[in-house]
Parts: sequence; C-alpha cells; structure tokens
Amino acid sequence: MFSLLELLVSPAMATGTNKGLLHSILHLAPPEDISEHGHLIDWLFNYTTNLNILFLVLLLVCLFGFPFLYSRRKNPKPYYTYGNKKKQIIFVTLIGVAVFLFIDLNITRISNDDYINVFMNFPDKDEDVEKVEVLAQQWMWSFRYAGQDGKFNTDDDVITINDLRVPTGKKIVFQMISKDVIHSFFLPNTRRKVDAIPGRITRMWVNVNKPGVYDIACAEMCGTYHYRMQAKMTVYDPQEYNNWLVEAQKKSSEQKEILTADMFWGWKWNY
Amino acid sequence: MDRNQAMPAEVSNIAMVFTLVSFTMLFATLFLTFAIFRLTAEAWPPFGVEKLSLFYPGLSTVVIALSSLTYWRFEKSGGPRWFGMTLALGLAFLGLQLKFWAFLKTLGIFASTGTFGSLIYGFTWIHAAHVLAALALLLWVLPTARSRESFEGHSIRIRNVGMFWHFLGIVWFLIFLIIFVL
Amino acid sequence: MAFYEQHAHPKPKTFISKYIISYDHKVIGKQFLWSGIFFLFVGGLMALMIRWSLGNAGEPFPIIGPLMFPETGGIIPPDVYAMLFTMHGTIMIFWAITPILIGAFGNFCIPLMIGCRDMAFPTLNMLSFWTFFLASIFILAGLFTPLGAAAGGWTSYPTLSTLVGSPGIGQTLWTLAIFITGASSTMGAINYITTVIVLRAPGMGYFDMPLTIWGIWLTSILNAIFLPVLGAGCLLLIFDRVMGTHFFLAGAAATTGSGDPVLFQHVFWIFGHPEVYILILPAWGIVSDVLAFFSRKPAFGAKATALCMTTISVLSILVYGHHMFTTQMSPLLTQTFMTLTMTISIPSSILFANWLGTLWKGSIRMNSPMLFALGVVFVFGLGGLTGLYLGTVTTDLFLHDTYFVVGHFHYTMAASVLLGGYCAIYFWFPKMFGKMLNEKLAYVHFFITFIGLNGVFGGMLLIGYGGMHRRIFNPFVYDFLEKLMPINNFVTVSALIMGFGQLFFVANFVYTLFFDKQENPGDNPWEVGTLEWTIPSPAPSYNFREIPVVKCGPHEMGNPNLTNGRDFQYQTEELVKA
Repeated sequence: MFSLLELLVSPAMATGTNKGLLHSILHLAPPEDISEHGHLIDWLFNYTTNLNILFLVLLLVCLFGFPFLYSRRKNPKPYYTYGNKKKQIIFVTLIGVAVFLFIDLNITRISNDDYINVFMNFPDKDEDVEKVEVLAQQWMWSFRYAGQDGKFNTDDDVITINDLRVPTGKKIVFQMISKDVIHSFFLPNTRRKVDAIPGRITRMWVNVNKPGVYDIACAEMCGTYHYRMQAKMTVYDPQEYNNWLVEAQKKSSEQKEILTADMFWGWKWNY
Repeated sequence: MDRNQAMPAEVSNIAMVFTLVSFTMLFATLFLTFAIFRLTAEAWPPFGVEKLSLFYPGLSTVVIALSSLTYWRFEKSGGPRWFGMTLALGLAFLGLQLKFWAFLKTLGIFASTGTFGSLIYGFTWIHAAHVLAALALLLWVLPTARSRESFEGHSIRIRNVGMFWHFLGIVWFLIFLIIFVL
Repeated sequence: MAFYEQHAHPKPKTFISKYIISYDHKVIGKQFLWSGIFFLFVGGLMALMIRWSLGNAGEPFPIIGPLMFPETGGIIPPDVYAMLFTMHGTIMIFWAITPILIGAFGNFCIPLMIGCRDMAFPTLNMLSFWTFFLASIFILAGLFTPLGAAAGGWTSYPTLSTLVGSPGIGQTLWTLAIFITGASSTMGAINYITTVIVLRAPGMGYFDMPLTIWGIWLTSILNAIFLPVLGAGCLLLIFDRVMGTHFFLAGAAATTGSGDPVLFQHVFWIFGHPEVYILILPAWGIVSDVLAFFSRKPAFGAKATALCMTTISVLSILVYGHHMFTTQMSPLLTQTFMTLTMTISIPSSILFANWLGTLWKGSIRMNSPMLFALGVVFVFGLGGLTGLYLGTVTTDLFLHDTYFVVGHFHYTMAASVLLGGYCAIYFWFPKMFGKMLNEKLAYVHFFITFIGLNGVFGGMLLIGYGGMHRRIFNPFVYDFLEKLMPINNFVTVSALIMGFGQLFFVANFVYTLFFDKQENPGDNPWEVGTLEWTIPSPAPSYNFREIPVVKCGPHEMGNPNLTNGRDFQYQTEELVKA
C-alpha cells in the first residue's frame, strides 16, 4: 500500500497528467458551464454551502468544544438539568425554526422560482427553437433533427449516433424516450439531466453559449456498459450549425434507407 | 404452547392487528398499482379486451362471504359442523379461482395480455396464495373443533385465525368491487 | 396495557437448543450479530473491490483478484463491477445494518431495557431469524449462478431488473431474497411493537423508556407498515420476470400494451424513504442515550427527542418523491415534495440541539462508546446538511445520480449507522458476554475508522460536486472526470485505510471473547441506571429474577441530592429530591 503523503505530494498517480490531490481539491469545480442558466444552479449550490458552513461550524464548535470544556477532569460535577425549563425549550425550538426559516424556506423559494420560471418554462409553440429527439438504448444515444422543413418523420430528417450538434443562441428542446431500460440524459456542462424512460416522453430545454466539444453521459444505471454510454455534444455558432445541417441532410438523403425512420421511433411533439 | 399460557388474550390481539396492518399495506400497494393504470388508461378495459363477465368473481364473492359467516358461527359456538363448512367453502373458493383462470384463458386473456391481464392475474394470484396460507392456518385450528374443552382452551388461536380469514374476505370483496365491477 | 409476568425459560441443555433453535432473545440477538458482522465483512470487501476499480483502473485486485477472475488476470471486469455495487448496497442495507442494529440490538435491548423476561412471542422471534437465514442463502446463491448475481443497482429499477435488462436467475433470486428478508423483518417488527406496548415493567411509562427503545420501536412501526409495500413491489417484479406479466414493462419489450417502469420507483421509494429512517432511528436512540450516560447528566429534552423522532418517522412517509425529481413528475408534485422534504429539518435540528444540550455542562467521560456517539453526531450532521442540496430540486438536477448522492447517503445511513452500531457493540459488550473490550484498541479503531470514512465519503462529495456520475466502471472514459482522478485515488486509499482499521475491531473482539482471561467487569461497568445494568453480566437466561418496578426515568445522573455515594440512580429507585 502506498502512503497518503506520497499521494499528496506526488503528481501523476495514474495518468501522468494529473497534478496531485491538493491541486485537484483546490481547483475543484463542476465542469465548465456553457449554458445560459447553469449559473442559477451553481449560485444556489454556493449559497447553500455558505449557509451550511455556518451551521456546521456551530455544530463543530459545540461538538469539539463541549468535551474539552466539560471533560470529567475540568467539570467533575455536571449541571443537573432535564432541558425541560421554559427558557431551554424556547431556545431549542428557536434553533429549529431558525434553521427552517433561514436555510430551508429560503433555498426552497429560490429553487422553486428557478424551477418553475426557468427550467420548466418551456418555449412557446411559435418560438424559434431547435428541436431534437433523443432515443436512448443500451448503450448509445441517437439524435434526430427535423431538418430544413422543421417537421419530424419526413425524408429530410437527420439522424446521428452519439453525436449531438447544437447551435448557440437558440433554445434547444429535447424530447426523449428509451427503447429498453431507463437511462438518464446528463449534460454536465449545462448542469442538467433528465431520465429517458421507456414508454413515456420526457423533455428538457437548454440554451448554450460556448462553442466547443463536450461530454454527454448516461447518469442512470443501465447495464454492464453503462459507463461507456457516452456521446459528444458539439456546440457551433449558428452559421456553422446551418452548414453542418445542410451537409448532413445531403448525406442522409443520399443513403436513402429502405425502411423509413418513423417505423422505429418518432412521436408527436407536445407543441 | 404451554410457554405462552400466561399471556393475556389482548397481547396476541395487538400483534394480530399489526400483522393485519402489514397485510393491508401489501394489498393497498396493489390497489395503488391498479389505480395508476386505471386512471392513466384511455379506455378501460383496454382496447381489444371485453368487459369480463361477473359470473366467476361474483360466485367467489358469495362463497367467501359464506365461509366468513360460517367461521363467525364457529367462533361463537364452536362445533365441527360450522368449521367443516368453512373449510369446504375455502376449498371451493380456491377451486373457483382455478376455474376462473381457465375461463380467462378461453377468452384469450393471459398474464402477458398487457396491463389488464397482468392486473387480474396478479391480484388473484396474490389473494389466492393468502387464502392457501389461511387454509393451512385453518388446519392448525382443526383440532379445536373436536371437543368443547379444546375449543375453549384455544380461543386466542381461533380468534386470530378468524381475523385473518375475515380480512381476506374483505380484501376479496374490495377486489371484486374495484377491479371487476367498476 | 396489561402487563403480565412471563415464565422464565427452562434452561436449555443441549447445544442445539442453546445456540441453534433458541427462543432466548439474547441468543437470537447474538445470532443476528454474528450474521450481521459476517455480512458486514462481505459487503465491506465488495466496497473495497469497487473502490479498487475506480482508483486503480486496470490493475488486478490484490491477492484474491487473480483467484476470482483468472480470465482477466485479476482485473475486475465491468459486469462483475455492476454485480459488486448492487450486492454491496443490498447486503449492507438488508443483511448488515438491519441485523446488527435492529436484529441484534433490538432483540438484545428491548426485553432487558424494559424489564421483561423475553419477547412477547419467542417462537416468532426464532422464526424471524431463520427466515432471515433462508433469505441470506438466496442472496448469496445469486453469486454462483451462471449469469451472476443481480446487477441493476440496489434500487433495481425496471426495466433493467426485468428480463429486458437482466436475463439471469440472479435477479430473480435477489428479488425473492428481498421479499423473504422483508417478511423476516416484518415478523421481528410485529414482535417488537407488541413487546414494547405490553411488556414494559410496571411503572414504566412510554417516556420512561430509554431513547434506544424509542428508536427501535419507531423503526419497527415503520418496518411493519412499509416493508409490505416493498414486498408487493417485489412480487410484481417476480411476476414480470417469471410469469410474463407486464406491470413494469414498456418500450420495445412490451409487445401487448404498456406497463409503467416509473410505478416501481414510486412503490420502491414509498418504502425506500422510510427505510432510511428505519436504519438510522435505532442509531439515533442509542446515541441519545449514550451521550447522556457519558455526560453524566439527564438527556437534554429527552421527551422532545422522542417526539422529534416520532415526527420524523411520520414525515418520512410524505417526502419520498425527492428521489424521483429527474423522472419529471408534474411540477406541482415536485414543489410539494421539495417543501415537505425541507420540513424534516425542523425536528432534525431540534434533535441536534438536544444532543449538544446534553453535552453542555456535563462531566464528560471519553470512553469508547462516547467517542463513537460523538462521531455519529458529526457524520450525521454533515450528512444531513448535504441533504439540503439534494432536497432542492434545481441543485438536484445537477447532483442527482452523481457521487454527491453516494457521499450523502453514505454519511447519513452508512457512516452514522456503522459508528452507531460500533457504539452499541462497545457499550453492551459487557452485558452480552461478561467482558470488556480493550479501550486502547477501541480508540485506535475509532480514529482510523473516523479518518478513513471521512476521507471516503467526504471525497465522494467532492467527486460528485465535480460531476462524476454513479455506478460507472471506468471514469477515464470521460474527459471532464480526468481532473478528479487524484481525489478518486484518495478515496480508494481512504477506503483501504478504513478497511484496515476494522482489523483492530476484529482483533479486539476475537481476542476479548475467546482468549482474554479478564475478570468479570461486574454488573454495571459504565455506572448507568437503566434496567439491564441491574442484573449480572452476562445477562442470565431468565433476565430478571424479580420483575423490576420502575420509579424514575432512564437518565437520572448527576443529581446533586444523591447521597448513596453514586452519581447515578437505578430506574428501580425512587427519584431523589431535595
């Protein structure tokens, strides 16, 4: 067994590219945020953390302070009390109520607002959005785009496998379903995930703003190769995206398949 | 059972009540399952399945109600006659269930026939398994029907088995009402 | 309720009647303890194998690896990895924590602490153990089937756990085993509930019961109510697997009509959330008592503590939906569950305030049980606070199914229950076996365990915050997880350290029990006033020669009016007043 100390100081434990534990902890952060609303989640996380630290410090001070202050040697005669005095009951209840009011209701309210007003606030019917259908199965993701005509189940649909391409500056709406077991569509860079469930459609919308290539993962246990159920998300700026879509459409109409896509998947859009 | 001689009747009564609470939760979960499928379905019974005839379920309801009644008489006055009738009616109930399953198969409804078949078979299987267990418990009561002394000496046992038997009757009545009639 | 005096058992004579088919609650408790420790070892070994795969991906597992996986040269393959984390979760929850805290200490403590000779139904008690034993055979048998054990995670969500995702017999055996062990726990629970209601010694009101009994009692009530819910879910799952029904099948596999896989999640978590409290309540009770005993003063707000535990038990029924935020329930349900979840923090923080109030101005003795109890307060505090992130829906959108969740629930139900279990073992060992465990080894055991487990579970919180999702065999697949590898390594090293620390416990336990020739520590080595310390150690088979009459509460310590040279008084003594 190797020593903790070695681990702390030595860089490159496993891959040769890592910078050691301390560096890793000090620079710990969630994956880069590329979405417009991911910062809401990050902000709430940090806010909760600050409140938590307050209470944790209080707990630690009491937990380590009391055994030190009131050790058998220092305080041989304990204070005989039941905690049933009025003053004590009020004090304890105050703590409970304070925690509830200042932490819980606070973050519940913020989270609620975000959830209803942002994350669950799907774009209107006539808003110009990019629609993507996601089909999850063991162990791959298929994505389908409506193509130029904006309608699914037509000849110009584009289907990609494990390869999601989206434009910046436009809301992207996903509707997804699973073919076999429950999966979960996890975009770490937008802080979002939603389960893909056989037999029911789930939805999610995000808005990304940073071009690049990012990971997509399956977050719900879906079998032996769950860990390999990975896809890539390429974020383009709108012009590049259009170029790609035209190109992809051309390719897909060249390789006309005998069976049309809607025999396998496809569903009515909810709006 | 000499070990428990000192135990007052209400002790085992309390335990029996909690046991029945447990069983209630088991069946309540099944009814929850039914409710969810029933409420989310567009049509019930689902497309392609006809509404079942109430003949076998109705007959089963009558039989199990009678068996509860006879057991209740047995609890009150004892005697092998009422007990024998309970036992016979219990067996008849199981027989009816077998007939019912055969009848479903002639209709082309199998356990794998969508949620409808699953629910009907799932409910009746679980209930029938409990009735089978209750029949085994009745055999445990059997010796007490022999004589007056043994009847009076085992009042706790007779009462607890009775509670379970009546409970299964009530559950069957709910199944009949909710799944077959509604 | 009518108290009645039970007959003392006839003293068992043969080996079988003494140790195997025993009606004695103390022997059954020890049977549960031994099985629990055995499964704790099995589950712990599985945990180490899981950690090894994550921290040292691609390296053979030392020593036993090459024996178990000769085809890969000792490297744990991904399918085995899935079995490992599934079985680790299942075994730890249903076969380690449940038997140790509820089976062993529930059995051992209830009659001794409420002052009766045995459980209300000794035969049911024995059946409960042997049903558990049968379930153990089923769960272990899964490991030796051709396609291996269950591998769908301990939650076994369909459709992964139906034939669609796991065709092997292992999953069926798993489901059956859960059903049977559920039946066993329900039997035990009904027995415990009745015993506590009926057999409390004369004079003992509900609030004169030690808080340990409160914890175990509430646990039993939750068990009796909610295990059948899981039982029903298991039955339907078995029907889906064996009889061809369509309860949970949907998607391509559902050829005739569609079931609903999310239904199982509802059923599972209606049980599953109370289960969390089922596991932790006994530990809370034990900790509340031990903190008072070793602070040498009455438990601060004992009545409030008992009522808080009751409130939490009731609330636990109403909040299960927070496990399912990502399945996209209706926003209204989501909001409701989030708000209800948050209300749990009121009783929880009162509970913490009471614990700290107990320590306040005490005369604290740092014996091994006290150390472990303080450890529980710390880890449960951290676990509870991290729960806030998961109860709020937006942060849960990111953290759900990441290692943050793993770290959180290990803090709340693994770390605190483990430390609570050790606390109970160190505390009641003298009453069980008539010997004291070595305090020095206990100290070493505590500090290594405590440092190790904070490394493991704290590290998991960090990794989860970094975005690593659960149940993945090899995190190297993802680019964004690469920077977390040093922490992953650190967690693995911490796990090995923690595992190493348990050797001190095993050594201590085995040495004290079989080789140590120490003197009997006497009836009451900890100088505590509850009923079990009024009788000889180890407890005789009839427990109490005379059924005690209770005259005061369980934590009467530090009373300045005491004149008998002790700083505590037994529950059988009249409360000393000025």
